[in-house]
Amino acid sequence: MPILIFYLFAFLLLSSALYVVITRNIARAIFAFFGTLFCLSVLYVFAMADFIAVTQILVYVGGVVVLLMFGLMLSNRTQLDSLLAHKIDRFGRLKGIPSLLLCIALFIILIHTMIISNLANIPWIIKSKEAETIITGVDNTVKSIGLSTMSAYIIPFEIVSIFLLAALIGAAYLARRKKGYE
Amino acid sequence: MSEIPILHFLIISCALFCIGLFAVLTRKNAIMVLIGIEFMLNAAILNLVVFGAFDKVNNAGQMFALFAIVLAAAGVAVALAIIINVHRHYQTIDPNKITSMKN
Repeated sequence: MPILIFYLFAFLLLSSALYVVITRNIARAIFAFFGTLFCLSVLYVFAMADFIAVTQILVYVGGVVVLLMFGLMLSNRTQLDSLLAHKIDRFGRLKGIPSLLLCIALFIILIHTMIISNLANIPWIIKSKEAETIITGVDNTVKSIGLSTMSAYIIPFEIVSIFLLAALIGAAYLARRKKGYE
Repeated sequence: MSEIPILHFLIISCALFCIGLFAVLTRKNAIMVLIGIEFMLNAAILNLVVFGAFDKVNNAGQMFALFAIVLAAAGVAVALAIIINVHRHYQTIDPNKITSMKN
């Protein structure tokens, strides 16, 4: 039964991602993007990463989607113009064919690489299975993440916090209203 | 973890990456290009998480997934600020029409 749920959410993930790419309506695309991220967090739970799943919902669904909606609303004036332009431009869809071919070729190459790389026999995974250091459903990943954040990954953690501060100041500086324009 | 093979996770993340690449290449709206980049980032994060499940001692996969999520969120904030600025300047956010960096 859990396996069925996994494949159901994988299907939902890919179909909503395809809808995001295909649809012309940008507001609907952003809401489908919301669905994609939610399904992705379900897949994280199936990969035994519950804390990452919760962070995904908090950061992406709570933060990024709202930011994208703001960006859409503040730059919405051009949407109508581009829709009108598409009606005139009949070969607009044909322009997508080379990139579609490129993406399909990349997909085939990646799948082929995975199949020939023999994923079942990667040495470190076999070693980890023998030593029984695989994360199972009963393990407390939050505790382990907290311990490694404060020990092995303390320098990246501090750098990320400074980076976040710099990014927020930079975003506020860039988006401010300048005197010359309005 | 043992019930679902790694290959299936990787196929899903592959498909997501290619969908994101297609969005980046074809869409005519900078916000949609940004969403495509987010898809590609999320595909990479899914890979990190899946392989991280085999590393309980260091937990490196999940740690790097966390860092990647934080960096992606910060990147989105800056990119949207730039998009709003570009829209104020050019009255369009179609990447094909923005040809000069300074008028």
